[in-house]
Amino acid sequence: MKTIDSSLCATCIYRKSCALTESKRFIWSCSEFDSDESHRHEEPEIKKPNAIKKPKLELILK
Amino acid sequence: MQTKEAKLKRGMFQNVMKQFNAVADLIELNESIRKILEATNNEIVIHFPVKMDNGEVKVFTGYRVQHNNALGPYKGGLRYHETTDTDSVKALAMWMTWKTSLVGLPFGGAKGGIKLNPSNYSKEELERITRRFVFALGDNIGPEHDIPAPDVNTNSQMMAWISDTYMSTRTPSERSNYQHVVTGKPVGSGGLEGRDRATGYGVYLTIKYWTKNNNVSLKGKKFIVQGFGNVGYWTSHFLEKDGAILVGVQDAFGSIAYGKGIQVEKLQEYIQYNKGSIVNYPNAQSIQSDDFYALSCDICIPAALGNQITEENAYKIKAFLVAEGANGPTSVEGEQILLEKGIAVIPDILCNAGGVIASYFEWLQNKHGELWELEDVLVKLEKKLHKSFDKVVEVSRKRNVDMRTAAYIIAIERIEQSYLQRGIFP
Repeated sequence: MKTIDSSLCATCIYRKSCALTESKRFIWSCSEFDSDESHRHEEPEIKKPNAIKKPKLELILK
Repeated sequence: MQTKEAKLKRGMFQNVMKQFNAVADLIELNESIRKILEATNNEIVIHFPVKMDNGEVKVFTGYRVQHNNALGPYKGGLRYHETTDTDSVKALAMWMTWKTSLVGLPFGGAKGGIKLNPSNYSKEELERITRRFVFALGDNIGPEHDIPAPDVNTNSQMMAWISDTYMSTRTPSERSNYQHVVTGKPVGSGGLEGRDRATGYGVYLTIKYWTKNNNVSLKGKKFIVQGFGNVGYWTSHFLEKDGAILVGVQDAFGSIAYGKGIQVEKLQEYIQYNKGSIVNYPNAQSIQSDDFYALSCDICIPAALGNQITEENAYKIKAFLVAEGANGPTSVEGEQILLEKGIAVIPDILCNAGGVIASYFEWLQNKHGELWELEDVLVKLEKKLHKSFDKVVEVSRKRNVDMRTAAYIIAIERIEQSYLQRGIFP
């Protein structure tokens, strides 16, 4: 059988900036996959709700 | 030593075959049955014409690979993607055979799709493409033969078109006998209440069963989830309801963490008005993607894509349990490291089986002309998954193997038993 060398990432609108994985090859399923260009947004729009106050953050990296 | 690229190239088919062969050797699988299961029963390729909005005719290529139907009708998704071909769906079809067998469903395994990028076509064109493909498939699918479902780039609307097209090719008097030709339909068109949360609920349940078996309380346990789509969100929703605390999330846009807890519903609400992204969520801190799996937590849930926990990051994981919400998130090498560290892994074919169990319920609901309520669906799902989980734990202990190996043993032995009981025709 020939090696499968294609990937969902090839047509994913997030492929250039995807934070999930560096390797964009051989991806067969992905919960974040989207190929609809109308869903694209280059920079996430920041709309912080006034009601939510930023808490003091606790670093949990060890 | 294999290069990273060579390992990746091994791809899903090789992984599935490797797992199958390892278990087949372990259980000394009947040689004739081994030959049958190594091959796919049918590989259908169909070229079909469709008229576009501008009047031009385009010819599309559709695929359906039917791996095995020893236990019942073929079952598996249909994907619309440019990379779809016979080879790419073979492994997925085989994987469906193991999954349906493991959770005790009367189904076999299949997968298919059409080679196209749906974003290049209008809704009307997609409807004509879908309907024409179903017509071209003819009796290669059917409610008692092969039952498709949504997959990559296909949704409940498309399943409704498939159902309607298939039913329309039957006589009017028997039309309603064929609604269960496809699952994943909209609730108003024979779909199942709760289908949206079934996979995530299943992931949560397997975590709950595991913690209960190991005398661990979920209350106060910290978890991280990769992917905040349907599976990631619902898993987090149910875990939080049971007292667990979400401390890290990663999606396509970035990674966030907050040790004191990220409120699942507030994050979901934020995502709605932030165009689907978790980035800049005010009640958490942004972290580097590479640091995500190093977060301090008790339960790690990769629920997005494959090959995420590998030999390169498995040693960083601090959780005592990895629950595979996604398909194939842990590489063979990655799992070896996890197991050596004493980290338990709930394997994907068990962990995310809630979705296919719900598909079975939808099929049953249509077949019997019933409409099931959400509460009933969740109760039945819990019962079915609990039984499968207990069986995996039992085999794991009895044979002294990890849960993934135990799951494959159960799945393959169930099919072997079926062949041994009825023999091979003629």
